[in-house]
Amino acid sequence: MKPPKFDYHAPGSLQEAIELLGGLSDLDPKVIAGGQSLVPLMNLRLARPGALIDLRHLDELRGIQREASSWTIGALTRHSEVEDSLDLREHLPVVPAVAAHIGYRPIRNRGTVGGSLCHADPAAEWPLLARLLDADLELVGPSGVRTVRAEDFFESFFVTAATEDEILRSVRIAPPPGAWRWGFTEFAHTAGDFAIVAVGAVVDLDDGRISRARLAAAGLGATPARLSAAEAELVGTDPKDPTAHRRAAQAALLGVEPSEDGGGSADYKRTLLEVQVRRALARAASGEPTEVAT
Amino acid sequence: MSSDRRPLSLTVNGTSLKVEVEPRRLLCDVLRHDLGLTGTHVGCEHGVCGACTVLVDGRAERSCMTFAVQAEGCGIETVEGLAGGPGALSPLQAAFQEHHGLQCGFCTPGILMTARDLLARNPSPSEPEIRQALTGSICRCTGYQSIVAAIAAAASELGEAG
Repeated sequence: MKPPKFDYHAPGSLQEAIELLGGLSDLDPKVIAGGQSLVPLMNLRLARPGALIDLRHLDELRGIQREASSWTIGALTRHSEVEDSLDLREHLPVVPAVAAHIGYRPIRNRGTVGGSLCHADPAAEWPLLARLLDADLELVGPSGVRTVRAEDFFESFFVTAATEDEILRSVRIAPPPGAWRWGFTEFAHTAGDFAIVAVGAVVDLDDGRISRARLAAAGLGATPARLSAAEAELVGTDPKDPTAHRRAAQAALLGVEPSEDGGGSADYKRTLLEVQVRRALARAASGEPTEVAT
Repeated sequence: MSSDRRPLSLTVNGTSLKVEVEPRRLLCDVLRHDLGLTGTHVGCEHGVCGACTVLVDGRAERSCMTFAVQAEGCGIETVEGLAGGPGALSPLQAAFQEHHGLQCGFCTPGILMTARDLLARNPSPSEPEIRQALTGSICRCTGYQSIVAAIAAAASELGEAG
């Protein structure tokens, strides 16, 4: 199908974009960046915004910046730019590696970091990364700038803490200060398809033992989830200990009630979760932290 | 309806063009219907099949998932721009002919543009890398083996040509 009619605006500044969002509120306006989620939804007429505010001229929202102890990625940065970033591959390799799992290269060439975070599909890679790495999201609105933790940003299926007149400017991610390892695994029916369940693991190491573990899963429910019971099981263990991985995988199932959807039943997802927690931890301990991205 | 139209400038296969389009007009439809470049095919219209893939400022993108107004001022390359002229084939196209990399041809324009993006970034891709690049393109005729062979052969020939 073809999309319904809408008014189109391509403002020249972030301030102008925010004013348009407020001024056009009667038209149910939507911000468009790469449009790789919004345009197909409009083609299928599942979304019918009366106005689109295209951020294409806002170059200040593009790019990957290194700060003292963190990295700031502009909301309009394309997934493929993250995937190809030599700086991120060296200093924060989990981010480009997971970004490379998003859809297909032509999707990653147009889709943006901020668009994916604000679309907030609970099976998507960026929401998982933001939760896994405790990212901070910087929102700009009529009353100024505020920073929201990833933990507080994702509220439900496709619902975030951003208000209707706020625009995501950037996401900030801090690598762990000491030695750390990561693993990621995604299960989908075909390469490039939406994940049914995906799991990321980041373990901080102190003297060869896990001093802090972070595990996040996509595809289980309304938001990306941290698996805190599993994280607690891992503290103090040898990162290569398969018994500890099994205990963590069992703990991950506690308190998790996956939603049944086209990807599979709740039981199926629980099985995927258990296997993928073990696999992500094994990958974190190995020299191959993820499968070849598609 | 005409009052909704706005002027749009694009450079398509090296030629600067101006058209008037509604904001809701998809890039693929501007190429096909307004510019008559019907080599770009439209399959699923939601990004899964890859038939509509074109290069936008040198990057492979889905022309069915872009409003043409978003591409204002951009350089677009379609399958019509691959070869030097009528009847000619680029080395990539010639490799598809030589290795039977197509049957019905519906997916072929999108796959050619996807392969062009791959070879521009990675002039000598491994077979797994070629297969990865093809995950976003659906072909119902060939079983993909001959497409993989064609892209590998083109990479080899282009590499030798230096």
